[in-house]
Amino acid sequence: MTTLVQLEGATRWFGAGHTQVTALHPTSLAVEAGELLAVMGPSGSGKTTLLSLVGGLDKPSAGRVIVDGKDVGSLEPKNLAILRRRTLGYVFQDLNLLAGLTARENVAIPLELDGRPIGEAKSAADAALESVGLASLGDRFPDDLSGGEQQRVAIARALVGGRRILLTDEPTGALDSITGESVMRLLRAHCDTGGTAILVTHDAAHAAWADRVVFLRDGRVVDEAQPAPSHEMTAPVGAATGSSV
Amino acid sequence: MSATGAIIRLARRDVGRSPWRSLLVALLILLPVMGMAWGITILATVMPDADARDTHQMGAADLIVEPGSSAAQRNALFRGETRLEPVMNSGKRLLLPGTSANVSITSRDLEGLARGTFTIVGGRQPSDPGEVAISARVAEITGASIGGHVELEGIGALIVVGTVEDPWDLNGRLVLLDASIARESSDDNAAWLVALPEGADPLPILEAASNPGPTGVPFQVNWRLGRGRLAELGGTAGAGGAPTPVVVVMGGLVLLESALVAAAAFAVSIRRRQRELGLLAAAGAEPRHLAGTVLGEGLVLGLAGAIGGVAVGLLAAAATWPFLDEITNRRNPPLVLEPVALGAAAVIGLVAALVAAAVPAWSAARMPVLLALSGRRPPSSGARRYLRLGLSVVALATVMTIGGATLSLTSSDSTLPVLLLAGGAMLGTLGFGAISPWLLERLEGLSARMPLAGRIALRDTARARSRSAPIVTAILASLAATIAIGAYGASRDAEIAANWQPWMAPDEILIEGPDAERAGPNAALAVNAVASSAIVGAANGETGYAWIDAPLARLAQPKDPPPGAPPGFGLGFSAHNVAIADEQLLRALHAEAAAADLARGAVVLLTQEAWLGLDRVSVVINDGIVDAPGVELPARVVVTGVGGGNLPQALMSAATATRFGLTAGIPYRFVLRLDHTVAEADLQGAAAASAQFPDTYADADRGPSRPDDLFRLLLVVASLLFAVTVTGIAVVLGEAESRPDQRTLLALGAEPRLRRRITAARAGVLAILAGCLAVPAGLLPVWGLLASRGADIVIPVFEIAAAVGMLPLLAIGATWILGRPIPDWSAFRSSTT
Repeated sequence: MTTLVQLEGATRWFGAGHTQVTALHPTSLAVEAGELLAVMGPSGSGKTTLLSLVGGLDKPSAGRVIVDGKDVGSLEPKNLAILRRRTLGYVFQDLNLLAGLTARENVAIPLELDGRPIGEAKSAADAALESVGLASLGDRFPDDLSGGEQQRVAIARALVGGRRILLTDEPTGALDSITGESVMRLLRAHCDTGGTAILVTHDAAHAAWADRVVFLRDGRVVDEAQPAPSHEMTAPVGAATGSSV
Repeated sequence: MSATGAIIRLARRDVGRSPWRSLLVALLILLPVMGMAWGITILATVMPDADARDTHQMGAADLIVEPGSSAAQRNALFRGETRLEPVMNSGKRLLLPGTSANVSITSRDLEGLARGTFTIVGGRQPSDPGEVAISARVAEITGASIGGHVELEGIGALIVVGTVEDPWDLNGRLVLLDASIARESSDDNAAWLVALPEGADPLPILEAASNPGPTGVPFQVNWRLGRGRLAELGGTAGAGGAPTPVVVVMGGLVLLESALVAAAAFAVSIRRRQRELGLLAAAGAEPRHLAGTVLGEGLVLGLAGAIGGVAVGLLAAAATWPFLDEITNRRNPPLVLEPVALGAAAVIGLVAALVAAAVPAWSAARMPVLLALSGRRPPSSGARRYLRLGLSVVALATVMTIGGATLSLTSSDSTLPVLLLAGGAMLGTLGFGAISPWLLERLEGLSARMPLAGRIALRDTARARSRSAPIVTAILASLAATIAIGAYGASRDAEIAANWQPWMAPDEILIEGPDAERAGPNAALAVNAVASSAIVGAANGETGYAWIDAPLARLAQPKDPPPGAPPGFGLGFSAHNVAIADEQLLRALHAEAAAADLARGAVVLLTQEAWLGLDRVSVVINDGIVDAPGVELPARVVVTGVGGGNLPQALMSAATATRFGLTAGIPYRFVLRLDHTVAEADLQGAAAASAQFPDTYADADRGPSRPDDLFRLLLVVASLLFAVTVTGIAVVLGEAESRPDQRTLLALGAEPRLRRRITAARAGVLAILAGCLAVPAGLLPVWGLLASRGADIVIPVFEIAAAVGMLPLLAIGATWILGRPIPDWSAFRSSTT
């Protein structure tokens, strides 16, 4: 197995002196290729901080975060941006699509940022949209899509270009249960084809889709478990919306 | 009442929650109001009212009888207790060691009716014909002080007993003589100040002065306009009252610009508060309450801007006041406050803020609750509607402009044409601005293959119409002003150039002044002149002169005869500027070819154009009052291309002049001819040589003068800067809405500098669009203005292209330099979960 994400005593604190707050105490963790890791814990437990460190959006105050063999803390901003464009896909809880761009253009952004020709980027975006069952909605603007459709566009954007690591922060928080389940199927499918995903969630039902669950409290890993399989993993992705991959 | 209170409370809190945007809106109102308050106060202070003008002209008198009345006439008009005091003014030469200088001399009693015309600021006024008071400038020239002496040409040395000041000309060269000199001078040379007895009716006096009957000679009596019953005759509107409306109108136009930008700021405020407004509506707020919170914000910020603007404007005026005397060369009163005009400025500012808030308030009131709660942008109505609206307004503006121009040519009343032209200019700008959403929609369709930054910028600009349309209008108005100024200037320049008559040859320099004959040779040496000569006029005694007449001469121009002229139409030639010439002067004036003609007694005529039939002329001798019969002489025409009256148009030899009893006049001109076109350095060399002699100057024809060039340039620069500033504000407002997008882009792997590209592209989109719309918006009113005078418009294509091209470059450059990269992720922490 290949370790795609590794935290070695990664710590993150904010402020200094008596105002210092530690959001993540020294944490060591490894996520293998093909693994879906769920991170659970109450608000303020450090879930988002952990995800930000892995995503290269933030740097550890101490320790190391290694993503795809690269030490995130030592990367220059330019190389960090390249890592985010080529290796990592981020899905937020709130719907972070650029309102001025169509669904297809939103999905194509990482490739365009990476310097790929517009035509090629859009073709890849169409394929990604098809993989999430939204092939026919590429020309729509975000405001013309439902919440579930927007979240699937965001997942398509995180997957486009063959990125291996998917970081999702409460991706189903704003969705109904059926749509939420379809999103989980997408994540599972991504991991089953060799990718890796870290899922931050409050929902135990969604965590049950993971290979492993890490529990955080007050910035510390307090428990780790492997959920009992409770879902039929063979259901086709996009079944909730009637589309297929 | 409680609802209103809640609305105001909410508005006040919103103002505090977005302090920078609130400050921007308040400043947008404050600055124009400040400018108006400053302008109103300064103008009211420096522009004297009618009474101050009367006092400067006639002191404490009720009437002034201008020079030209006889003692008999005055005795017939003014009887009984009427008091008359003479005022005598003339020019003299102040004798200085080795030279002399012009001064104004006056004789009047500053303790009598003339009090207030001039002021004794040191010592006392003269009380003896051997005494004088002198101004500070004269003291500076002569080095004399109280107790010293000055010497006046034809009068002699006089003892200085005081310092006098002309409050309307602090740098004036003034010498005050004893009042007895005026009393003893000839009646014709003096003006008379008149104090009428209490209750006397001045109207019969004015009537009698202007209609003295068949045997009398009318003379001029001016009356005090500023106060008293005679004020009704001339109208008493103070001079300070006239510029105030101009200031208010100018300030109002700037406020219109400000209101457009402020409207965009309010639109951003609505967008950011959309969910909160939805919550209010869900909690039971009516549409009027929602609109009220936005209008309340406008009211609070408008009041702050208006009151602050007046206060800061008055402070600025107070700070300017100590320098006013020096700037205006005049003794100014303490600051004059115009409460009504200041109040009007504040009200205009407040109204501008409310107008700016009105459309966003209306949008807030109309927003469906669910949509507001969702945070999604309201669906846009069709942009074609904006096109129709814009074109209709532009059509109306065009009709008004054509109507104004036509009426101006056909009507003597200028009020309506001016209103139509001004209204057309304003509506045209708004109309072209209203088209912008449609144009943006069209451009949005073309953006699909644009690079990411440009696409995001264009889409964002196109979709945020409520923010973009007023901003584009504000930028285009500013740029239209630049274009209008440029086009008007170019048209005026072309008009002036077409009518320009050179008054000297391009290789000539003229030295003028009382010491021209002494300064000239020095100047000739300084500039290596190839020919030079004093210009000596042909004089007949003290006041007589010679002039040249040729009534049947005809212009040998293609335009001769003029269109519609009757058969045999002829143009007479005449020249009043006759000089006595020798070969040196002929050479200096490019007329050396006529040396033989001059020697044989012919009159040499220097003309701008060729003439037919000008081979003989009449020399007419005037004795100062009447012309003697003309004597015919042969003439030789030399076409120099020079018109105007600075150089002699006719030359005769000294022998010919003697034949007519003419003598050499005072040589107060000296002409130099160079072997090349006069350069600035040549002129400066000649000027330096002349400057050694007071009142003697060097000049050359440097083509049509364009005194407003600097002013025009300043206006253009100011307009461009304003346009760039507005673009910058627009970009900042756009940035305020783009924070979530920045976070997303950062997470997707965008390099931080992408934000700079988007910002610069956003500025470019606004500037290019506004630039394209500004061209017709700027040219329409200029065409109207020129057409109203029957003049043609000249479109300075290169300058317009430069201005239209420069704005996007400046805007993109400025935003690129001042723009910031996407911040570190920690900056978004508050928005992460």
